[in-house]
Parts: sequence; C-alpha cells; structure tokens
Amino acid sequence: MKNDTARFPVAMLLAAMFLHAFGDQLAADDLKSELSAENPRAVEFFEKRIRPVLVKHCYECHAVDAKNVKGGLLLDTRAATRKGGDSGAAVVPGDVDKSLIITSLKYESFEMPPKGKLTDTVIADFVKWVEMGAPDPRDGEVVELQIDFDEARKFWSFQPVLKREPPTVKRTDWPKGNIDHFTLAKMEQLGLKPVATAGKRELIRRATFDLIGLPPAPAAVDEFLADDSPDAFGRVVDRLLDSEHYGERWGRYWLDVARYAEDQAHTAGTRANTNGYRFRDWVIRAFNADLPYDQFVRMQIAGDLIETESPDKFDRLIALGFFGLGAQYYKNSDKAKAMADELDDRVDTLTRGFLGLTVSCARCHDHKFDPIPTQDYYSLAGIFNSSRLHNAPLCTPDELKAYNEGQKSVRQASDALKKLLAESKSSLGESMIHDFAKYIEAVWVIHAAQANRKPVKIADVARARSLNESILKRWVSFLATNQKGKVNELDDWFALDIEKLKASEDEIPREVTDVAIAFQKKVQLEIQIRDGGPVENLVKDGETRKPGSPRFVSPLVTKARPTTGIDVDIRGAKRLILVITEGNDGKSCDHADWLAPLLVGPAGELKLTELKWKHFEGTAPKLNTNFAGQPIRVGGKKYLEGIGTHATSVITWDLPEGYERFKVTGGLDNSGSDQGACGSIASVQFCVYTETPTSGPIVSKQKSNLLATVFGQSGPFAVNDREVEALLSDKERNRLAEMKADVDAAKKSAPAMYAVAHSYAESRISDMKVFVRGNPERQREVAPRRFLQVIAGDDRPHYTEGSGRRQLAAAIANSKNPLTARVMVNRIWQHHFGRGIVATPSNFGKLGEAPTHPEMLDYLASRFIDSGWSIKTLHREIMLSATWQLSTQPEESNAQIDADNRYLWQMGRRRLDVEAWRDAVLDVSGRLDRSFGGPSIKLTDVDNVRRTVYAKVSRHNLDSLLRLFDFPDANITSSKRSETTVPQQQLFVLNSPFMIAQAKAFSTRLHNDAPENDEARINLAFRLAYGRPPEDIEVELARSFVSGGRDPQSKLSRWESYAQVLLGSNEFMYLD
Amino acid sequence: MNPLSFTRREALQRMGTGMGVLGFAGILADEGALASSSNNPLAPKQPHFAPRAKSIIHLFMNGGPSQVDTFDPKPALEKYNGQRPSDADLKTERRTGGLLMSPFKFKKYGKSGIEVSDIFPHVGSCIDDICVIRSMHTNIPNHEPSLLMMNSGESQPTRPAMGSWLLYGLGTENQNLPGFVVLCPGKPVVGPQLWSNSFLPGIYQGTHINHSGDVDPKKVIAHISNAYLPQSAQREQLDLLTKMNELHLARRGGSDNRLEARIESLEMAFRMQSEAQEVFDLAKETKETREAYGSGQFANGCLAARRLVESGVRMVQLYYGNGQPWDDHGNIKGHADKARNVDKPIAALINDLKQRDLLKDTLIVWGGEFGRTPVAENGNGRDHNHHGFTMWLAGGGVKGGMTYGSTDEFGFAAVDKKVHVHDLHATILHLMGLNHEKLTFRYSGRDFRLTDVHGRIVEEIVA
Repeated sequence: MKNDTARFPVAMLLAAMFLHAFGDQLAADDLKSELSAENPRAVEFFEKRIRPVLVKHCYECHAVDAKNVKGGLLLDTRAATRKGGDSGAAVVPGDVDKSLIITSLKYESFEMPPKGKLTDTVIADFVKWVEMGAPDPRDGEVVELQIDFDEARKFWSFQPVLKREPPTVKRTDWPKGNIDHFTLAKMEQLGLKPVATAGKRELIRRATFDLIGLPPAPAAVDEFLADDSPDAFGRVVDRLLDSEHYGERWGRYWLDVARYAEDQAHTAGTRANTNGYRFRDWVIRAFNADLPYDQFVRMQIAGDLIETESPDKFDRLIALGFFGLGAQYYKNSDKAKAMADELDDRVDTLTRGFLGLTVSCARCHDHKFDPIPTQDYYSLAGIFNSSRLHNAPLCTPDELKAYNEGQKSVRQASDALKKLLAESKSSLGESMIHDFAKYIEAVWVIHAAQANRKPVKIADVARARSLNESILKRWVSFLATNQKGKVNELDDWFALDIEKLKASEDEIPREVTDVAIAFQKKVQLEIQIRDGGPVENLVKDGETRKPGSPRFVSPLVTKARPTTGIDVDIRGAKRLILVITEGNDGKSCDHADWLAPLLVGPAGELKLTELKWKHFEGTAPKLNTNFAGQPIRVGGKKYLEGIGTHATSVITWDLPEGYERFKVTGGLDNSGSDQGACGSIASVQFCVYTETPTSGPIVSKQKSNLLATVFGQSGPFAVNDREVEALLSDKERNRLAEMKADVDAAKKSAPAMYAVAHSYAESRISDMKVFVRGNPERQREVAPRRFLQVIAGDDRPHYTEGSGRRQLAAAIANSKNPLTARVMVNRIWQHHFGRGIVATPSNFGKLGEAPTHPEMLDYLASRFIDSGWSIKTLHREIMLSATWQLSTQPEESNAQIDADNRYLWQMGRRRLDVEAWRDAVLDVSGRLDRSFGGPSIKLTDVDNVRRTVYAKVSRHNLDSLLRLFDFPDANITSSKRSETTVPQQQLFVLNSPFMIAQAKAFSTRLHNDAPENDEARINLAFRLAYGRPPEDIEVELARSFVSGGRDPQSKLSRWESYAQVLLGSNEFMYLD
Repeated sequence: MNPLSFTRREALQRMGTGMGVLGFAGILADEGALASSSNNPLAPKQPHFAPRAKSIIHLFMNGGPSQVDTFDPKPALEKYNGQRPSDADLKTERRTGGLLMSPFKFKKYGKSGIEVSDIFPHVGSCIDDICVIRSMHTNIPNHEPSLLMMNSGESQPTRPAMGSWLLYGLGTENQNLPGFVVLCPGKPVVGPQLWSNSFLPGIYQGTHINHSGDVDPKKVIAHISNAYLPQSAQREQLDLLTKMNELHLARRGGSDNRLEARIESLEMAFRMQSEAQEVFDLAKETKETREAYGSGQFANGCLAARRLVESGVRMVQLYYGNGQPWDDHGNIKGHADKARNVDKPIAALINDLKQRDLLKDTLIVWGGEFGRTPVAENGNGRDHNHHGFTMWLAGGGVKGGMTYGSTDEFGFAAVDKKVHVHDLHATILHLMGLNHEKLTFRYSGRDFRLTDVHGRIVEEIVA
C-alpha cells in the first residue's frame, strides 16, 4: 500500500501551490453546488484544505504506520476513512451529521484532535468537504491490522519444546550434571569462569531455606559436616523434599501466582472467604505429595468436571479455589463493567499463571505485541462467563440433606417463636389503644415538671397513673421535641405551648387532653381502615364542608396496605365524582380499582357498575377489569366487580334519587404493584366528591403510615422481647416457653454445618461477543469458546462441552503446549536462583525477557514432562548441579563481563522473603509453632507464632508486615516479589513488639540450653541463627556487649538486646 | 582495613565534613547529586520537565460535597425550586425529586469576585489564590468506585494510587519520613486500597495515619518509637548491629549494594524516629499559628500536612473523616457543620503556606469523589452526582482567582470545558513536572499509566 506519510512533503508542496493558484476563490460557497466528487477542483479542495489537516493533526494516531493506532481508525486512505473505526464511519459522503469526523472536530461526539479544537474555519472546510461528497483521491485498500500467525509462531516461546542434548564443554571436570553443561557452555562462550563451590555449611543452609523456608538445625548441620560420602548432599535434599514443611514453602510461591486471598478489596456486598484456607492447604498438600503438575493444573481449572484424580474426592472441588477465590467487584452501578472486570481477573490469572501470556492485553484491542487477537480474549472470557463462583459443600448428598432439614426445623421453630413475639407486641400495642390518651397526658406531666425544673421520675408518674413504666419511657421519647415534624398526626401535640401551660403541671389542661384524645382517635381510625371496616364521617358533612371539597379522602394506599374501606354520606348530592390521585409520588405503576361500588338508600341498593358514567378525565376507566384489561386483583385476591383505572383518574356519574350512602373499597391493583421497584413504591389516594372539585385532595405529606410508626421500631410499643414477656398472660407466657424449648431442641438435634470450599461450577452456557474497546455496551462478532489461535491452530475446535473448562484444562495441561511446562520449570528455577531463565516468569511474550539459556529451558521442560511432571525431581536435578552449588563470592573479571550474573557464574545472594524471614526469627528463638494447616490467623495477633503461610491474606487491607516486606498485592497475580529496602522495615526490626518478644525468647532459650557461660551461649546463638560458630572477633564483640552495664531505663537485658541484634542482622536476612 | 576501627556511621559522619570516600549513592542522593545511580528507590528523581509544584496536599471531602451549596451557585434552583424540568432528569444512584434550592446564600469574594457559599467565608477570603473547577465529572455515582477513580484512575481496586505514582516518578525529598502520607481520623470507605501501591513496589504505598483524637507523635507511624530501650541504649545496640553487618559485608568482598543499602537503611530508621516524631509534634507550633488553624481533627490534620510538606513529604492526603461524612442524602444543611470544621483550617493552611513562601511549591487540591444532585432526595437531601461537580486547586503553579468550566443551568452536569478525573490527574502530574503519558510502569505486558489511555492537561489553569 501507499505510504501517505512518505508522500507528505509532496502533498504539502501541492497544497502550497494550490493555495497560491486559487487563493480564496476556493472558499466561495458556490463550490458546494458546483463541484462533485469527481470534479478535479473538488480534489484540489481536498488537497488544499483537507489533506494537510489530516496529515498534521490526525495521522499521528490514525495512519497505518502510526505507532499506536487509536480507536481502530485509519484516516490515510479513502476506503479506510469511509469504513471508519470502532465507532463507525468517519466520513459518510454528503451526510454531515453521520460523519463522525465532523462531530469529533466539533467536539460533539469525540473531542478530536485531543490537543485542542481546530479553528472554526478548518471545521467549516471539513463540513463543506463532506457536503460535496468528500472527494478523496487517496487510493489504497483498507488495511486490516491482522496478525500473521505463521510468522508469529516462529517466536521462541510458541515453538514446540525440543529435547535438547547437553552441549559439550571444554572444562569437563566441572559439570556434575546436564544443567552444568548448558550453563558452562554459555560461560565459556562469554569468557566467564564459575566461582568456587559453596562450603558445606553454606550448602545446607541454602538447601534448607530453599526447600522448606527455615534455617537448618545445628544438629542437621553437624550431621552433614560429618558425612563424607559422595551422596551426602543428595540425602540432605531428599530429607528436605520429604519434609511436610516443603509444601509450606513452595505452595506459597504458587499462591502468589493464584493471587490467593480470603476476602475482597471491596467490603460492600461481598463476604469474606473464610474457607479460603482449604485451597491454601490443598496447594501445600499437592506440593508435598508431588502431585504431577499437569493434574495440578487440571484440578484448578476443571476439578469439578474431571474424574477424581486425588485420593480425597473433595480435593478437586477445593482446587477450584484458584478461580473460586477470584476477585469480586463492586456491582452497585455499572454492573456490566464490573462483571467484565471479574472475567478479566479469571482470564488474566489463567493465562499469566499457567501460560506466561498476557492475554488480558487483548481485552480492548488486539494485543499490541503478541499474536493474541481480541476475539481470543473473549473466547476465553466466554468460558468463564459460562462458569460461576460456587460454595461447594464438602459432604455427601445425604449429609447435606440432613443438614438442610435440621436447619429447616430450627428455622421453623424460631420463625414460629418470632411470629408469636411479633404478634404479641403488636396486639399488645393495639390492646392498649384505649390508654393512648392517658400515656400522652402522662408525658405532658413529665414535660411540664421538667419545664418547671422539678425532679420527676418516669417510674413514679407511671405508678401514679397505673401505666406501664417501660412503655411510658418510650412514649416520652416518641413525643420528645426532637421528633417534631416526623409524624404529621402529632403536629398538634408539638404545637402545644409548654411555657403557657407549664403552670398546669398538676392539673392537665383541656388542650392537652384534647390533643391526646384526638391522636388516640386517629390511630383507632387507622386500625379500622386497615381492618377494612367502614369509615364514617372522615370528612364531616354539613356546614363545615365547602361545596367542591371532598367528602372523603383515603389515607395513602400502598402495596403494603393495598385496600381502603370507604363509606360516605352522600345525602343531598346530585353527582358522584370519584377521584384517584397519584399519591404525591408520581404516576408510577398506580393501577387502582374501585371495588364493588354500591349506592345504598331508601331506593335500595344499586351497583355503581350498572350505572354508566357520564364522563371521565385522565385514564379511560375499565368495567370489571383492571386498567390493563386483566381480571381485577388486589392484595393477591381476585374481584369480579369493579372499575379499573390508573391514577390520576376522575370519573363522574349523575346520581339517581333515593341513595344516601356510597360504599366501596379502594384497591391498588397487583398488575401495577407487582412491577418490581416501580410497583413497590406505587401509592394512590381515593377521594369522593359530589361537586366539581374546587379544593384539591388532601395530599398526605409523608408516605409512612401512622400504624407503622406507632407500632413500629421507633414507636412506643417497640419493647424488647423480655419486656413483652413480662406483659403477657400466664397462658401466653407458657406457650412462649414451650416454643423456646422447641427451638433449643431443634438446634440440638440439627447436624453441624458441613465444610465448604470456595469453588467454581458450571453456569449458563453461552459464547460471548467481542466487546468493542472492552465496552460491554458495544458488542461485535461472536467469539466461540475455544483456545488461543497461536497455540491451538487456525482450526481449533469450538468448546461445546459445558463451559469448556474441561477442554481448556486439557489444552493447557498438555505436553504439546509449548508454554505450560516451560513456564512452570522457569518458576521453579526462579525460586532456586532468584531469577528465572526467563526473567519475566509470567510473560513469555515479546515484551518479556528472552531466556538466557533457551536450550536449557527446553531441556528442563522436556525432562519435566518425561518425569511425569514431577516438581520434586526437578528440584533434585537443579540442586545437585554444580551451578546451584556455586558460592556467592564475587569475582571481578566475571563481573566486568556479566555484572548481573545472568549467566550464573556465581550463586546470587538472596534476601529472605518475609515468610522465611519471620519463620526463621520464630524458629531460632524457639517459638515457632510448626503445626500444619487450618484456618488463618492474623499476623497482628500477639500469640501468632505459626508459620507465615498460615497468616490471613487480605485484599482489602493487607497485613502491614507483609506489605512492608514486599508481599504482593493479592488483587492481582504475581510472578515475583519486588525487593525493596526502606527504613520502615528497619523500624519494624528495631522497635516492633514482635521482634522484642522473639529477642527475649531467643535470650531465654540460650540461657536454658547453654546455662554454663556467655561463651557457650554466644556459640549456640551463632549456630542457631547462622548455622556456624562465631569468629573470635564476633565472640569479643558479643562478650563486651552482654557484659556491659544495663541502662536503668532499659526494659531489656543486655542479652535480650544482643539477641535482637543477631535476629536483625544482614546475615540473618540474606542467604548466601 | 579493620572494620571495627572505622564504622560506617563514622564514615558517613566524616563524609559530611568532606572526608567521605565511600561510593554511597543513597546518601549522596540526599543532595540530589547522584539521583539516578542511587539504589534507594525513594531518592529524589528528576522530573520530566521543570515542575511547578513539589508537593501536594489533597484535602479529600469524602462522601461527596455538593457543588451547588459550596462553589457553584445556581440561582435557577430558586426559580424552579420543587420542579423537575426535563433538563434536570439525569439518573444517579437513587430516586430523586424536584430541584432543591440551596439553603445557603452565596457572596462575591476577593478581587476576582468569585461567588462562594456562606458556609465557606474563610476559604472565600482566599479565593484570589484559588482556581475553582466547576466542570468536573466522573463515571459512577457510587462511593467505592468513585473513590478509587479519584485516587487511582480506575474504579476497580487494581491500580496504584496517585501518591504512589508520584513517589515512583519523583521519589521524595526527605528520606527520614514516608513520602506519601494519608491522614484520616479513622478510615474512609474502601480503606487501604485508596493509597495502595498495587503493582508498584510496596515502598510506594501511602502511610495511613489515623489522627483521630490527639496526634500522638509516638504512635502516628508504625514502630516509630522504641518502648523498651532509651535512645542511648538503642544507639549502642545499633552500633553493634552495624559492626556485625560490616563484618558480614567485609567477608563477602566488601561490596554489595543491597547489603550496604540495608546498613544505611537502619541508620535512616534511627534518624527517622526523632524526625518523624518531631514533624508530628504540633505542640511545637506557636500559639498564633494554632489559633489561626483552630482546633479539631481537621485543623490538626491541616497543620500536620503543612509540617509534612515543609519537611519534604511529596504528597499528603487529608481525609475529612471516618466513613463518608459529606454524604448528605437526608439533609443538605448538614454541609454547614462539616464546612465549619474545615473552613477556617483550610484558609489558615493557605495563608500559612503563603507566609512561608511554600504555597508556590505546594499544590492544594480540594474536593470529594463526586458531587451531589441539584434535585432533592428525601425532601432536603441530595443524591450522589457523577455528571458534574466542583473541585478547586490552589498554589503550585495554578492560577488563582479564576473559575474554569461550568455546569448546566441547575448545576447537574458539566457542560462547558469538562474536566474528567483523568484530566485532573494529567494536570496534577503536569504541575509536578511529569508527563502523564510517559510516567509508565511495565507490568503484565503493558505500560500502565495513572491516566490509562485518557487524560487532557487543563493548560488554561496553569499559571
């Protein structure tokens, strides 16, 4: 294709010429009509006004040779411009509104160019250009930025693993095994010489920390030193590989990859995975058992879908914690993005963890460096989208059933108890309805006394007035000044003028009694309405009512209380006008019915449904069906007769002679109130008029209902269960006692909760579509669930078996997969040498580091597969090599060639990671609890002396010690730890209660185990802490320190202070 | 050389008098001489270009303060009070009703005459030093994602905080203090992820200091003081430790960057004990200064923030309080109490920095994770609003006495010169001398940025 950028100077030259030749003449408005796209002058317009702008402002991101093509959009050929990018066509000839280039330049859709809006003149030129049909001479095909897979597969990591023969070396006496041939060959090639082999003390210390993460015991060191046989070291390695502590060390490395944690970064809407430790323990056990790595992989991806491969049938469910403990994000808003982000967590952890590929980079666009198209990302995401998190019971179906039944009985018994208590409470309240006024008066007395600054006790007032003390207490707070405005019905109470009335403390003033009685009546009325009883004289007839004001107004009718009883005096009326208002909450799902409306009077009874209405306003009423035309249903009950409508509704009838009352039930129809959120807040009011309404219905200002307030949580009857009991009759109390006994019995006989694993399971199976730019709202073609094209080939099968996890697992745990074995071998290598053969263990792509010893990596990978994927065999081969056994001594001539020791001419000195360091501190001081597995405990617990691998790992709030010493953030998979050295770490070493406690314990241990003298203690201390006896100078330093005077302000003995020095030293923290 | 005769500490002390011979990058980095070759990842580093600000104080009004009741007056709310015109019908987290006029009055302040609500009279008096951005917007009307967005540029907990990025990019001036300090009485919602280093090395995480109650210099930083040994005894102990580490190093050829770095790090820790305690000792301030700031947690926080940036801390974030206190769903009048707690201290902070000639180097950022709706919730409250809100900047190379951008007639959505959180981040990095497109960290096969693939520098507000 043509390279427009290369033509740029010519274009500019042409543009300049045109500019000169045509000048402003070109800008004339008549150009538009005059010029068609084919017209040469139109092309000139393009060359002069459009192309230079495109080149200058757009090509940087929208040309085929741009460093980063953005938005999938190219603007460097006619065809590409018209095809457009991810968001659609950039130019639609003749259609300015549909041309994204125009709206973007105007900053109406995108804001382009991003560095600043172009001038109005330039934008006007583009508008003109599109209007004239977007003449554009730039030929050239639309270039699909496609991956050339054949070419891509030539990259080293996608090449098949080859069985490599160890190369020949010059110095044949040095190699101990095949590994050494590979490393030495490289060294000889580069002019490097391996340094001396490490001493025996160094070796056993290195081996012990390497394999079990603890220092060697002095006895083990002595034994090894005394063993002169050629396989002495091999036996040390075997002993350590057999140790139960081996899995605790190496399992932890895998947990970094698995971003293992027991909670989520978000605490809203997520629960801690308190059983997460089962996955951690399984990983440890799997390493201890040397579970073949391919099985290890299969179980973590598809344990639920494969035959049991482990002696424990539940292990395969626990192993799925690899995904089951995955990230869960905040889904309150933008749920689609959060779900997509969760899928990304699975894809990312899977591909980096097992394959060393950064497939997540292809979520928004094809991977910029590796052969991973966006479709491949969604092919994998689709597999996880067809799976779900699952808390799997670790028990037999029978045990599960028994547990559920047991819980059901407990629930039933306690529900019954709760119900009884609730009923007792509400009936208790209602049974006291006739005393309401008395309580209110009593509150008055208390208020008046307080206003007069007289001491008053609620108990005394209650006793004097024969009222219940605890209920009076609640009335006092219910009627307290700070409650003003919360309950409209109490406005009159709060309007009482305490100053004016306070003199009347002993004698209750008339106003107070009136208010008290009025309130009591209002509550009584509400109870009546609730119970569907007829309500009379709500709005008083006669002289107090102005014509046009309502005769009846119902309380707010809601889903919780869907009916209201109506019985209205209509004497003297000529018309009947039935009004339903929207209840002051908007017309949301307000389907409402007049149920069985009836006129009654001397003329007999007349169903209003038999009388044709005269007219209506608002929604058209329906006869004997609801507003939606379905059978009327209110509160779940069907009604045959009624008038269905939707608020707001006004229906008018002419009244025949001889009727005095109108009886009806107002109902909120289920067809509205069952409509989710909208229905749940539906509310209406029913009003009856007999003249054209002049005053609006009395709209209740608050939606809460009075009964709920009075008898609810904050009302005067919200007494606690114990108080309720005290108020019950003997019979009721006995009944309560029986029910309590039932609950206890049910609890006792219910089987204990079964164990649970945070596992993974099949879900609704479907392929996903590609999300354009990762945006769930813009979807493109279907991405069939299948494996990566670069590995599985162009004709790879569509996974149709469930989610496809089983097939995915088989594709990964596969000796033909070029990545799986290489990636794992490299991880193991990394933890033995501090650096992998590939220094980016989770990125074997182009941006990863190339292997320093590619043939050796292949050799080890094929050995790994041939050994039945045995990790322990691999450890053995590595540790018995001369390479691993090199000392850490520097060597200047080597350093000049290879300062970073990439070619392994020495062993790299390693800082212990936080687990090994903390465990060693505990072990040396004699306090380490070596017990295996089980629930996690916080490191901040003072008594926590367990191995660090058993500490709680939090995504929300990682333990400060762990974070301080470079433990990875468990929100994302981690391939290696960073190593930082900062003063805050040393503050921990110098000042933390943990270090002080271990220093004291270490000192005590030394005094117990070497009671004879300081010298013996110093000697033992060095052997415990460093695996060697002290040198003379160290003995001297120690003796002068421990025998020094103790500062009277010091809370540590000289020995304790010295013990802290030993534990805090570089020799303790860095491994040779 | 007999290591016992010449301890590292002595060497370093001699170095100070010009006798130093050790190639000790970490210590030289303090003078800025060898920044790039230092093996101390927190040593000051050269920015991409000359910075306008050296440090940041981010006053985080967590919970989301309302713009129309603070810095974005909207007279139309009074006119249309209670109504819900179609222009004011945007979706937020919860159900809202009609427009709610502000219960507070606005007044013009300063030469610039920018209007500020009467709950911020003291801040109003500083308005000529302040640039009010009225056209902020973000993505999601929920606290957690928006807190994460404001801090890390991503609504999931998977990215480093801005303070961590700054430490990574610029290091910090004072090696005896943490470079990124987060002050909050208690913890804001979301918690530690808001100052997480995420995939950056752990040393770049923020140091959270819970300053509820009194600021106790002995407790603000973990393990900052030794409860067992008096200072002289600890010095003696550390001298022995250093000698043993020297012996250890000498036996290994006498040169190993990492072993040396740790020896120096122990010395730094020792010095940090006194310096960090010193910086948090607010009692060292004069009575006049204490009175200017007033009392209370936020006032203490402001004063501590000034002492921290004065001592060379790169970024201080000061959260208003535990949880999400500005979240006035129920009654917007609650803003008055909170404003009362912050108004005077903020003004004192601005004036104090100015007086010490530090305001020019210190960027103050004020705002929440989002704003609030002009429409009512629960009668007198306001819901979360991501469509439009206000933040303001002061000092650190930002123009004072100006407003930038605007919201619609009712203050619901940003309409003119919109500034997304990404744009704010880009601008802040720019003021700190960093190109937000070049401050990258390679992780998981990608070069990550604070601004992801977004970010526009708001050039117009840069002085």
